[in-house]
Amino acid sequence: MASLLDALVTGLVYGGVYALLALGLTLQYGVARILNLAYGDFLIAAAVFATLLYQHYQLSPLVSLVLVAPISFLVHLLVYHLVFVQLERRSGSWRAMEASSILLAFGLSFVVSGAMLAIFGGKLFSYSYLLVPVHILGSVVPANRLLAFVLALVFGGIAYLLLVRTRIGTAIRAIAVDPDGAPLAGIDVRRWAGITFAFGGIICAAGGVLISMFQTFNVPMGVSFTLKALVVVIMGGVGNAVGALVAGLILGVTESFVARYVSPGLTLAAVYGLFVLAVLTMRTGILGRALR
Amino acid sequence: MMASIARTAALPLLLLLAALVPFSNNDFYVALGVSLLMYATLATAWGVFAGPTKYISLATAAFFGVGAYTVGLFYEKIPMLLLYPLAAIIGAVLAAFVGLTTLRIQGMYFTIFTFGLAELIRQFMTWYQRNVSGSVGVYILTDISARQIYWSLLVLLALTLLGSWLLSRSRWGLALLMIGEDELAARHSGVRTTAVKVIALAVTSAVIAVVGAIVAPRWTYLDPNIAFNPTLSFMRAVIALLGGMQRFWGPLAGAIPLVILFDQLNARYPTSYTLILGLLFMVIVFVLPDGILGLLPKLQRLRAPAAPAVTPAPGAGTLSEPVTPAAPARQASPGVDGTSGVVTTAPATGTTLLAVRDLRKTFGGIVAVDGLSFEIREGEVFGIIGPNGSGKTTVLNLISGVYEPDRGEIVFLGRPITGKPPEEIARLGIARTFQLVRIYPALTCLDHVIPAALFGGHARTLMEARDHAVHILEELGMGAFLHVPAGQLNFIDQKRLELARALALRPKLLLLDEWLAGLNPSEMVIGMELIESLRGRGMTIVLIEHLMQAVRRLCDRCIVMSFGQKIAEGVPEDVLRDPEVVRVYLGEADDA
Amino acid sequence: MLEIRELTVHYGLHEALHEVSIAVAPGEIVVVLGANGAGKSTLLKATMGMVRPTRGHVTLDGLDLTSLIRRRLTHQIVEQGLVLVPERGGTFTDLTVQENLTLGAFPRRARAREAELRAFALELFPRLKERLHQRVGTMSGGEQRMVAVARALLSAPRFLLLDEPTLGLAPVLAKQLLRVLPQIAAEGIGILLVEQNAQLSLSVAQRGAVLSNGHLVHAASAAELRDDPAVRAAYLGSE
Repeated sequence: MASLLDALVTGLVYGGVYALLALGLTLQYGVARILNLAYGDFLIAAAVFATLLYQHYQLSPLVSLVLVAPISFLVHLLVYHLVFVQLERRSGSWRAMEASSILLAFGLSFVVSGAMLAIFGGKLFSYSYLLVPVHILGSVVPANRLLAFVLALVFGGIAYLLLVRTRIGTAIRAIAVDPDGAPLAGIDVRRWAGITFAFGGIICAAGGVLISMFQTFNVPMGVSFTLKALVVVIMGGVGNAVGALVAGLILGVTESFVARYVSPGLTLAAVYGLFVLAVLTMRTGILGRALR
Repeated sequence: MMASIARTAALPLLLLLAALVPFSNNDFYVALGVSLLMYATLATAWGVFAGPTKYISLATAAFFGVGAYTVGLFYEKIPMLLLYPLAAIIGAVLAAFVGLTTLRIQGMYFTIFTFGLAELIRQFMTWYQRNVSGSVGVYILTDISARQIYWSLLVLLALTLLGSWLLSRSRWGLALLMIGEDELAARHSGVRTTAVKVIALAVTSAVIAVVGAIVAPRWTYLDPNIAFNPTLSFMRAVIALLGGMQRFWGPLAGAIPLVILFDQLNARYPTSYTLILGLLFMVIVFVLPDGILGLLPKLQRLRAPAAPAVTPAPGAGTLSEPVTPAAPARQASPGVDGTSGVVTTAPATGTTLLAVRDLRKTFGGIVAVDGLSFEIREGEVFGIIGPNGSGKTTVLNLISGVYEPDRGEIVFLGRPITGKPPEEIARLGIARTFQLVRIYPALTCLDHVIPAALFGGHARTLMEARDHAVHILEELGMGAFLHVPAGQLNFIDQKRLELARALALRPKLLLLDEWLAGLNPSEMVIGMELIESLRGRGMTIVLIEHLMQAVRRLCDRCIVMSFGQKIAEGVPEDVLRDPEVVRVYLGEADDA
Repeated sequence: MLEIRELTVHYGLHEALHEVSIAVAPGEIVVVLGANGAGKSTLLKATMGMVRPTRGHVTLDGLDLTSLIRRRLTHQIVEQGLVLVPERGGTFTDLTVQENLTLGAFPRRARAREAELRAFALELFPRLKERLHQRVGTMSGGEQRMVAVARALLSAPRFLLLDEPTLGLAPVLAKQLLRVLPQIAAEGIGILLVEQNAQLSLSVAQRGAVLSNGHLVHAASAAELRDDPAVRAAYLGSE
């Protein structure tokens, strides 16, 4: 019973962070129309950043969060304008653009992870921050996980409120709904799409720092984080924040149960299982693409 | 002539030369050769699917690893020669699963699924070996030499290139191209797009798995990290891209420089290898979006600046004088292709060809078609008219299978076709054109029409389809444009091309969606004569039209739609005089 | 004054619009009539920089917008006070009425008058007042049109372009919608209306023109056009 509860609580903690990650990714895909396959690698970069600051300068990851946000914003803004916008300018059809932007993001993922591999190789990162047991619902949770969970929800909540309650947030959602109609409302689509992409970058970096607080990680793990975030986005529906939260929690709990009761080696299989379920239950309108 | 012989002979010669390399007894060359052949094969196989369809698979490493592991796990129990087909089958089955799951929907899901596939199988194999077979990694101790691997790969590459060459000349190659350009139009030509995609993916994945199986003995020790190395997927993408995805020689042209470069990089900068590879890749995407071979036409253009951009064949009157082609269209009418000898004008007394009953379709609360019923008789021209937004095109999309109705029934030749997909409806004999022309600008006119002749289920061979396509295009007065890319045609010829594509299905019912729209007055005359000549041959036609003079002249009967409902039905003369119809068209007056 | 001069648009090889010139004064309603495919939507899209014209100029109160149009900077054209309600669109269907109106005032020039224009728009379309928190996609076609026009009004337009606002609307609703236009014009906003519904639109417009095959074939006062056989011919093709 206790172990069941443990699995549930652990799953919810991970799920909260996955939901946050999915929110960043869905913003990037829904608004900037970029399937950012380098997402997990940027996440690892932020996690490494926080780890190094903690190990060398005893800097709290909370401080790292504040430092990493503007850096990530700028990096993503540059990547958007220098890489993806240039690509859009030179590719003819929308289909060609989609294909080459995916390949470009794939390449970007190798650049980011390659740079880190060149420096750190495959070594494992971890640090012990707030390793204090907290009792919840009869289960023991380390305080760092709890903090990460709470912060993930807080950041996700803030991002959600910004999107829903502000005029600019509304404009950004409008771009996601109808990118062709948005200029008619006076919205500079390219400018705001870039800022949204960069904002997604902030969320990605924040997620990385949060993960570094409680999980051992290494550079090659970026791929699986990208994949998990993507699966949560697909399960929750592109551009759906509440859906992302629910899907994130489902994914986290599933993963945690599989790890505990089946085998830790099969968690990715569980992620794929959810992916297949989500895709198979999806409506298959054949105009899905033609009408975009 | 000489040049084409040289080109045809170049590949076998090159392969023959390559086969001699191992006799040099230089281990370095053989090792380099193995890498080169391996990547060239992987890139070719990948390009066969991704090039035309633009569905990007990122899972080469997954299929490669599956092939390698097939050998690793079974080489002691099963003879080597049986392991290759086994690897191919396992690879194909896995690919078919991936394809059936994700290829029905948007390309993005397919890409995402393949993105993590190698990692998934890597983790699964690690788990399997740890928990079932006891140790991670297997030893592969065979007496297969590097030379044998080299020759096996050479044979596989030759077969893959041959396959790719044959494919590009076959109906399936055309189908893949059409899928990449405009999937919906492909379906209306009768192409079973999902099946084509899944089969193509399965076959190319099988090739990749066989590459893995051939190369596996080189490692002597195999663990999941080696077999499912994601860098492999990436290198293959870099090679295909550098070479130019859509070109036959592309993967070879990309593999040679890059494999040598990889080799050097890996030796000198083993730690920064991935980074350099990534940067190199992004540079290629930007500097050479069409690959090395993409530069060739540009260079040729630089050398010969006077080359004509448009290539109207001699005697092509239509580009400048649109009036001429109408004549052949009319002359050619009776029974040239053996389909009909009927030249009567008004046979509108036939049996019911299509019946629509109580059709309803809504879009997010807005009713587009509401309780619509009508019947179309064999041999008549049936008009559907009505103001903008009255639901005409929706009706056509319901009949041709683009949408599924919320309610109601569509019966064609006595069989219900409600809810069938477009490709099946096309094969049953309902062809259509699109309101906004949907052509593939880069494909020639013949390439537009041949697939419809093939996939419509009439022509048995490519030659037969080709003859049929040539015949139809000539009948429509487009004989001079057979090899002209559709993007270079003028507007009416593009419309004629769409019509040719529809006719190639040998339809029993032809749906024309504002086919005359956008034509200038003189083109309009040609267009109407063309439709009349079709009617003269007994073709049943549904005409969605807003040009009333065309409706008056062409239609035997028509219905008028307003807000998704039928408000009038009958002979055009009567219907257009109906006060209700006049009111709908002109709108209500201030005091009405 | 909104002046469109010799605007020409090609789609590939097809000439969709041929040297069309038309002018609208502040507070005036001008209607362009024509059948499907005559080039009506293209005229408005080219004016907004949504399609790139081959030739021609557009000036707004003496300010030349041509270079903005050529660079397809639609959002900056909106910022100058030229606002389009596109055919069928003009709303963000996943957002609420309230949010759509807020977006109407997204251009900086519109912010100062937001409250005033919101009140004006809701006065014109009282029905929207009850539905502020409803998602636009769940509303009826007529209500969606109202949201689109209201949203455009919140952008504080100097000139309003309307692309077939009555498309697909039941006659009563179409009439209701077009009846609102004179009230908008009374605020000094010039309106260029593109319509298929000839009788109804001519009843609210001062001037009109007929577009056929991309050519402006006929221009006259609304009263003259109402009885003109050319108008009838444009739709019914009667000889």
